[in-house]
Amino acid sequence: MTDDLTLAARLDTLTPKQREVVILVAEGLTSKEIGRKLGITESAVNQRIEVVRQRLGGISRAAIARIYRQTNTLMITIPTSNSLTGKPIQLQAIAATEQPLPAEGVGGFAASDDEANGELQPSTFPPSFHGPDARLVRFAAIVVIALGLLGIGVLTIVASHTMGLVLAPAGR
Amino acid sequence: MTLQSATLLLALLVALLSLFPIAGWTERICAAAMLLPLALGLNDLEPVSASLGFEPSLLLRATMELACLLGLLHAAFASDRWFPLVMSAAALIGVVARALAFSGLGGAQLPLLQMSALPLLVMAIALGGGIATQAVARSLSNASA
Repeated sequence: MTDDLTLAARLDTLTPKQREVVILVAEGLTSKEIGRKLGITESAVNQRIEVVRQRLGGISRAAIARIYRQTNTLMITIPTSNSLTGKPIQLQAIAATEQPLPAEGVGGFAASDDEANGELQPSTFPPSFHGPDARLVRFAAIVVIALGLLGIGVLTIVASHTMGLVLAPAGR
Repeated sequence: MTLQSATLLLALLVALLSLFPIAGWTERICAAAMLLPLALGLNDLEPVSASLGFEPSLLLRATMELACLLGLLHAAFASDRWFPLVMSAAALIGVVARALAFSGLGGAQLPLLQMSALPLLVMAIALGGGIATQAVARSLSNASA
């Protein structure tokens, strides 16, 4: 619960655009549905979700939805129960009222096949690969990797020639 | 065993791995982009195309190669993994090297062209490494859940 509260606090640091995606995720919409609703592409939705996941420590999409719902519950419940009863608030009681989540996510939260296969996995990319200049960064990464591979290949060839070990030519 | 045959075996093995439930759409796109050129004889690996008795035209080769490259680039720009980026870079090197040879820009003298299995080898290693990493990540997250 403490961890969830920490993560819930991090939700406040999200931008308005990220927040509106999180709200729709918490409502159980798929990326396609969110994209249609916000007038953006599914890929853009996934990128925003990815950034949110990064900010929250790489947690799953279902966990984001759960934490957002918890945060909402806290925001509504705390002032009401406090004003009515004046008793200290029992955060664990709130947690106990939550419905347990199925392993694959929240009910109606069924991710598409594509997402189930890949998008919900922890990202191996640093945040800059998901930011506004993501395409540029990724293209630069491809170029750098290509140059690196080319360099390795050339070095291998030079080394093999130097050592007199010429690799067998291809069949063509 | 030559570099070419070892590469061919590795590519086929990794492509088989990508059919397992552990693999996602990214892995399958990349495996298809890796295997299609191989099946059509786009690489300098003779066994598959020769055994099929298939000799594709240059236009078909170029078209399929472009299609595979676009598939890889789509995966590289849409997914959250490293291996599509590495595979795209390797494919770009392969495409440029072959283009140099086709256009008669002295490419035939480039030693790199005698090792055109290398881009495929890099792609197979990147994809295989990606699937293995994903398998480890999933088993770790399952263990901690």
